[in-house]
Amino acid sequence: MSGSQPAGDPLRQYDSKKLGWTHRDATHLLWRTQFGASDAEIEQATEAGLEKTLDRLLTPQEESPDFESSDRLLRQVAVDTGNISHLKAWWLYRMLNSANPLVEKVSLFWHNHFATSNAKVDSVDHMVAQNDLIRKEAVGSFRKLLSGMARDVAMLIWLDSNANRKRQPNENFAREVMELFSLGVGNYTEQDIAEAARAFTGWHLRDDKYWFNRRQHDFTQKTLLGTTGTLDGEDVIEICLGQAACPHFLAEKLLATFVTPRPDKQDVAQLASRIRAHDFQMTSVFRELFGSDLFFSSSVRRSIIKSPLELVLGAYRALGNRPNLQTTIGLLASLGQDVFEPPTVKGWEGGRLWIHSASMLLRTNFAPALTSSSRFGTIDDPQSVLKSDGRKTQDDVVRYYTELLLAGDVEPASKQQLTEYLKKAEGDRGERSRGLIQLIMSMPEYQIV
Amino acid sequence: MFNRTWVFRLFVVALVTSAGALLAGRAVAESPSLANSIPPGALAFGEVADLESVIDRVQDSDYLKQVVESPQFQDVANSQQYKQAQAGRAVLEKQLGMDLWTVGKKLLGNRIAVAVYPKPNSKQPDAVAIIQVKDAKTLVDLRKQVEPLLVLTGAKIKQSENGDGVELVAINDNAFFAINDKWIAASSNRDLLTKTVELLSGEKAASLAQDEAYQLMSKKMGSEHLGRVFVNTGTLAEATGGRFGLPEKMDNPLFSLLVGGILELAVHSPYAGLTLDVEENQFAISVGISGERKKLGETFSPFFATPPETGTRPIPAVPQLIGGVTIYRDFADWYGRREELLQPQILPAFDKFEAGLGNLLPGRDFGEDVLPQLGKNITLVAARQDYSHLEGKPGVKLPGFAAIFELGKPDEGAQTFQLFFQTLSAILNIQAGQQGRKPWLLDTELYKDVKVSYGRYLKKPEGDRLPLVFNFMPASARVGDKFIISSSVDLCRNLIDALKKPENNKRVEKNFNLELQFDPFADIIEANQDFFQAQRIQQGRTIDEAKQDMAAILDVLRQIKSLDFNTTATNDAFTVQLKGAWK
Repeated sequence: MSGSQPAGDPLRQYDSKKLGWTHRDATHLLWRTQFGASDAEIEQATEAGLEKTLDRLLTPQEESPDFESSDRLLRQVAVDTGNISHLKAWWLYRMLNSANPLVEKVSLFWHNHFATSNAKVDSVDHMVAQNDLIRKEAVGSFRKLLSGMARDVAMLIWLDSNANRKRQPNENFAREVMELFSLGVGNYTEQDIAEAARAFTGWHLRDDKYWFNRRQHDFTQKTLLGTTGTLDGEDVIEICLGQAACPHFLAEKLLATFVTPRPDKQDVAQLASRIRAHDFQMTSVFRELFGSDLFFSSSVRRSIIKSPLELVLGAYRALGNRPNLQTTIGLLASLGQDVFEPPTVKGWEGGRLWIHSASMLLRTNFAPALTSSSRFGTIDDPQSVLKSDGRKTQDDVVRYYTELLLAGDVEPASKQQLTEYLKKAEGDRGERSRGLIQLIMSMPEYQIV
Repeated sequence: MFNRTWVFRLFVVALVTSAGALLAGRAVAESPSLANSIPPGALAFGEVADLESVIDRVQDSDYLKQVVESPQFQDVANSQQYKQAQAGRAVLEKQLGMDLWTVGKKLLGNRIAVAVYPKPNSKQPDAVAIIQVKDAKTLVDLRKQVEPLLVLTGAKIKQSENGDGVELVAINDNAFFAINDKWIAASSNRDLLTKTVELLSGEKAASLAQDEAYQLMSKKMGSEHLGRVFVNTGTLAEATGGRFGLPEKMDNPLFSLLVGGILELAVHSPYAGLTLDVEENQFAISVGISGERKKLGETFSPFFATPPETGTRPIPAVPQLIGGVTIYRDFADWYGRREELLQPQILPAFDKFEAGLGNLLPGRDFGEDVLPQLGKNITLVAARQDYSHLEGKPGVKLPGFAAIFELGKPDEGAQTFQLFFQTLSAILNIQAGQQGRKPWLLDTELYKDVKVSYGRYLKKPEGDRLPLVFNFMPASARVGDKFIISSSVDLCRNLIDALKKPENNKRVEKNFNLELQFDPFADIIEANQDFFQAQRIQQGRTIDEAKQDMAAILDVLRQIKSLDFNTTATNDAFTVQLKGAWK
């Protein structure tokens, strides 16, 4: 691998011109910033280089007319029917087909961060509005995102904001703003929560819209995290953003999601300082993060357990599946990641919790279901794919699929076993290739990204 | 020997032999039925006449051209299996010296019959088939072309003649053919073939046409049809242990209510028959059994109307009617006899049902108080809505639905149903509040002297793509001895208009009637194209493919005019009929 153990500032920009830019580097970048990558995308990124690829990922790209038509149709039907499974299908469609895949991936990150479940909100209109807010600021301003969330209707319903009244403040939202959205446990006191709750009184919902209920707002003095005044909700947000803990809290989450499950303190501190320096403007933060020595270091590659979405959509993208989105939704729910319905206010904890006896069985069974049945859609015919790429020998085939699905990170002995399988397997080339894909997807190496 | 699956397969095979006549437009061929040439004792017999006109029609039809040119067919055409089939076809046509359409017309153009016979100690029946050709020369020519192909297969072929100009061919000692210049007969049993040849040659011997059950069927269902199937259910029942494997008591209440009586009739019937008739733009398929209800006893009396005293009512003709279904059943009697009709393990579910219904009908017993108020006819109707209750339209446009209950005790019954309607509306309103939806306000109006109760929104909803729930504005009304519960006030009013007309109060001689009008049905599918296209995209189609799929479906729907399905019970026959008309 061309990365090296970082010294000094882990967020020092990775010098791809000096250190090299390979197929594996491109694969690593795309796997972390998208839901998987096709061979064509990896080739394109390899050829374009790091800077241009980051530009493409972080600059809004125009969507194709077909995507826009399909996106509009799927969303419209979800809203018309009020059926959340149609909305889930809409978002999965975007994750797979959008020309801005990083936006979708980061939107998922924020959806998990501001976890809100339709199980309680029970409204496609409100859930899609929240999703729009997240998408708008996914790689934009965290300040605007947090402020927007305080008035988001789905959030107001989720955290019982209408119950937050001046004579009887309800602490739900205030607690989550501090604990889950901005500061993290240990960086505030119970008194701070009580004061923040008072500041948010009257932030209500009326006629399906945010409404400031003056009669229920506590206009008196409050003291929050050392600041005293007639504080309201906006003030609470600004005070939280101003705390040193806030960028640390975000940094730790971003690193755990996109870089390494166990970020060390120095890395967290460095990223936190970048977040503060960029005043929570996430485009700049992501550019630094995804272009850093840390991101490309060998210690962080292939270190994150794939979430169900990464596992399933990643396979679709790599293998060219035209998916059945409804059966996919069912599978993702079984695997523990049902978009728009996170299990608790903490969202999906992920990491090692994605892997347990039941999910491992489902993850393993996914491979044959995808390659040998039409339950989840139809993958590109391997025979045609290999023919068009001129891959003729068994070694060629094994190399192609191990690079596509494992970034080439496979022990020689395992590679040899895969080649042996291909030699001995029955059926035509397409059938044997499907069998090979199944084997690769069953390997432990496939479960990590 | 025979199990339910075998019986089903038997019937399907027999159906398939006559299904080919579906598109024929000419009258039945003049030659007599081949039942006169089939040996007696057949378990099932199927016959089709005049297939040549069918093949002509299919071959020249615009519809076939559309299907072949459609993108969906192109997907099939690109498959390996299709390519193999086409290659096989090319080889065969080359060998035969003519295309398969011509082979079909020349060979199959007159009459075809198939019969199956029980075979002792075997699950596989014996079969006899007769093809009566129009063009003798064809037969001779085809034989010459087919023989080399048979040799290629490596089959053991024995040929002989019977002295009457009939050539006999045996292949592998398990398939036997007899051929002359007018017909081909085939059988899996040598003796059956011999008898068939004797009958075809004009010998006076017993044939299927003399079978008692066959004669009964012909008498009840007629013998002049384009396609016919006969099943000797008496013999079949004996072979399957007396009831075709059907239990005496059902384990599914809905199934029992819908078909319990019919199945019981079938068990006692000596025959089951199917006929197929096709006119220029319509077809009719009838299935008949002997309907001697007296044999069934009182237990099964709830299932059958006794016209003219009882029977279904016509489906009310309302504007933009998509379809309706009407059923005659003595519901109270059926419910009271449930212990005789249903298996014991499902009876507790009725107790739970009655307990649950207590919330909607407090203080009343369902079996004793409520059901007797219900008459013996329920009609369900669906019609397109005009959405006059909205300032705009919903995004997903559902039809209006209504149920019309005939009341056994009109005054009491109307009150009970009104109570049910009010209670249900209240429950739905509570749910609406919990889910943040707009509630209904219960209101009334007088429409042509009929009091209509309905739920309306406090403020008329506005918008071009309103949520799904705005399709519904529930309404109820009593018209004479009928009670309407509708999802739409508009439909309720239209039903009031229709039910006030005398023709809607007449009884018709049907037990069950379903009608579907395809133009309004296609209209509603088209109005909700977005929804269906989105479904297709969710299933992996691109947007262009989804649009093409929808266009193809609408094309098909717009070519069909209507579909009717009904059952009729007379004193000695029971008939199920499916009629369709196309443009």
